[in-house]
Amino acid sequence: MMEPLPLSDESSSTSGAGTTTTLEIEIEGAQRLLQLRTDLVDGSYDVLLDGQLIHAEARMIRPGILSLLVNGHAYRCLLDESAEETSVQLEGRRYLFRAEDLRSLSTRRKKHSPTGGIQTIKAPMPGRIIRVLVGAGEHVVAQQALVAIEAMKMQNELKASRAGKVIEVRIEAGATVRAGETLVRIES
Amino acid sequence: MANIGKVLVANRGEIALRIIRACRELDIRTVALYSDADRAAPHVLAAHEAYRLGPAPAIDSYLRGDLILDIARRSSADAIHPGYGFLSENADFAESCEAAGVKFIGPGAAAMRALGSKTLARQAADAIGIPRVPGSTTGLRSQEEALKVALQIGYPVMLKAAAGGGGKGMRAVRNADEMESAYAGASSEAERAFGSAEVYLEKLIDRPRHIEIQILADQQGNCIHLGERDCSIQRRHQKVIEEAPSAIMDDQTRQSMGKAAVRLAQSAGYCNAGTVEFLLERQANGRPGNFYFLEMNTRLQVEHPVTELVTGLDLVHLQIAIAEGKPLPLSQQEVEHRGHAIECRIYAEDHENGFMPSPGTITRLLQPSGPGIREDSGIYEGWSVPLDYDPMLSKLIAYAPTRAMAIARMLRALEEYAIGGIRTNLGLFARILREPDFQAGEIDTGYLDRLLSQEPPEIVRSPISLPDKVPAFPNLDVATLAAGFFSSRSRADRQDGESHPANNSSQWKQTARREGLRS
Repeated sequence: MMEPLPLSDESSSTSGAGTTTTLEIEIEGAQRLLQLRTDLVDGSYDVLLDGQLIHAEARMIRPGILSLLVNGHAYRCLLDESAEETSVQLEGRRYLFRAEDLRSLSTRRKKHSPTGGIQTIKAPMPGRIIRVLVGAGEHVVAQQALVAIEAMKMQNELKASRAGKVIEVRIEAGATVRAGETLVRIES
Repeated sequence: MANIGKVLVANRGEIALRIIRACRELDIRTVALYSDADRAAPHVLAAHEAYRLGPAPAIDSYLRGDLILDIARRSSADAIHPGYGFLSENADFAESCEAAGVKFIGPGAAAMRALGSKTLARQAADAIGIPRVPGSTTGLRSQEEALKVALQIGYPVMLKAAAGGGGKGMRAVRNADEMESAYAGASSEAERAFGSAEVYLEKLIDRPRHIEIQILADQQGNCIHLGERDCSIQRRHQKVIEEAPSAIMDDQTRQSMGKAAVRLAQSAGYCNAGTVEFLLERQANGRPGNFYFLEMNTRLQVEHPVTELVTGLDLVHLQIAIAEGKPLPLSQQEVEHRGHAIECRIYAEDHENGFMPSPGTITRLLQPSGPGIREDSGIYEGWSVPLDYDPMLSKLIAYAPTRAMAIARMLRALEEYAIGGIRTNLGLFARILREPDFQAGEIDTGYLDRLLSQEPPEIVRSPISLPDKVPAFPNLDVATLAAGFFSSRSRADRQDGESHPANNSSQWKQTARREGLRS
C-alpha cells in the first residue's frame, strides 16, 4: 500500500516522474474530490477518491474509450459528449458529470446560483420549429406550452418551468434549430 | 426470364445497405440514391453508383418516384428494390416502374392494391373465410355508424386508420361515451399521417399476441410460408423486439396460420415476399387460441432477418430471383426451422426521457460481434444521424439453438454495444430481456407499455452466481475515476493545443537554425 497523497493547494503540480492533478467532479448530483498521480513509467495511477486510495491502471484505447483496471476488475468506459452534457458510459449505464479544476471552483459556484429571474428555453435536440405558441410581452403560467419542435417525425412541446413574462422569442415557425440553441427567454 | 444486372435501391439506412449487400453477393451492380442529408450515409459508400435525389425532406427526395425512375433510366438499372417505407407500398409507383420497363422487386400493382389497403384486404380475407377480428369491413362514414357497429360487436373496440400503419390513427374505445373524441382523434391523425381520414372499427382482443407469417410467391403461382414471427413487444403499436419462432406457437397453429396466409396471397395473385399479420389469442391453459387476420404488408419487412436466421434463407436473394422469373427453389415441405432468433430495433431516442428523438453525431461506436450475432446497421462512428427520417440506427439480431440461449446471447451483445454522442434505447433492451415474464414468453401487445409504466429496477445486470473474492468498487466510483481520467486528459490536450500553434510557427525557424548550426 502506498502512502496517501497529500492534498495540495495547487490544482496541478509536477514533481519527479509523475504529475498530480486535483479535480472536483460533480457526478450524478454528488460532489467528489479526485486526486490523480500519474506514474509516467507504466501508465498506472494512484488515485485519491474522497481520501480513499485506489490504484488504477488506465489506457486510452482510442480517443474517448478508456480501459480501466481497478483491483484486477476490468472496465470499459466511454466518454460521451454531446452539445448539452458530458457523461461516462459504463456497463450500460450513463453517469452525467462535470469536472472542474479546484482553482476555478469559486468562480463556477458564483455562476451557478439558480435564483436568477430569467428562464431560458433551449432546444433539447436539433429539429424544426413547428409552432410558436407565445409572443414577446405575453404572460405565461407554469407548464404552459411555448414552442412545438419536431425531429424524426416526432413532435414535442417545450413548456415553461414557472410563470413569468416572455421577454424574447428568438425563432419563428419553420426555423431549423441546433441542440442547445436558445428559443425563448422568460422573466419571472 | 431475364437476369437482373443492375438494381437501383430506392431507400436509405440499414435496409438500403442490406439490399446492396445481397446484390453484391449475387454479382449485381447497385445504384444508391441520396438526399442532401445522406451524401455520406453508409448505403452511398457501399453502392457501385450513387446519385443525388434532392433536398433532405423525404417528400423532395426518397418519395420522388419521378426522379427515381429518371435515375433508373439514366443509370440503365434493370430493377428497383424499394425496401420498406417510402415508396415500397405505393402501387402507382410499382405501375410506373413496369411501364418504364424497370422491374419492381415486389408484388405487382394489382395485388398490392388488393391486399395493401386494410379495408380491401379484409374483404379479401372474408371472401375466402379467413377469420378476422369482428368489425366493419369498409371505412366508417360517420361517428353514428361507428356507434352502431360498436354496439353490434360489443365494447371495447378499436378505431384504426384504413390507409395507415405504424400505430398512427388508432384509438381504443371502452364505451359509447368515449366514441366522439376517439373518432375525431383517430380520423384527424389518419388524415395528417396518410392523407386519408378514413377509419374502421374492430373488436378489441384482450392481451393478444402479434404474430405474422412470412410468405414467398413466385411468378409460376407457387406460394410458401416461412413460419411466424412474434412481434408482440411493441411500444404504442410500434414494434421494438421481434422473434422467431413464437414462444407460444405449436405446430398445428403454425400450419393453419401459414395456410391462411398462403391462401390470401394466392387469392389476389400475389407475387414476391409479403407478410400476413394476425392477432393470436392465448387460451387459459397457455396454448394458442383463435387467430384473426389483421392486415398484409406487401413488402420486405424490417424484421425479416429473424426469419432468415431460423430458416437459413436469404429473403432478398429470393426476392431478386422471383423478380427475374425464377421459380421458388424450395417447396413448403422443404422449409426447415432451426433454433431461435431475436431482433432488437436500436433507435436514436432517449428511453429515459419520454422517448425523445436524439439526432446528432455518433462520436463513439463500439459494435458487438462474435458467435450468433448479426447486426444490420446504417451507421458508423462520425456519422450524423439526420433529423429528417425515422430514428432507427440499427437492428441487432441474436441467433442460438434455444430461446433462452438467444436471450443470453443478445444480452451479451448488448453489453458489448456502446454508442456515444446521441441517446439511444440500448439500455431498454437489457431491461426487457431480463424481465421474468419476457423470459417465460408471457408477452402480449400491451406488455411493453405496462412495463414502461413501472419504475425501472435499480440494477439491470445479471446477478453473478459466485461471489467475487476480490470485491469490486461501486460502479459510481469507477465512473468517477473514468470521468477524472477523461477530464485530465482533455485538459492536457487543450493545453497542448494552446501551446502548439506558437511552436508550429517557429518550427521552420528552429529547423532552419539547426540546419544553420550544422553547416
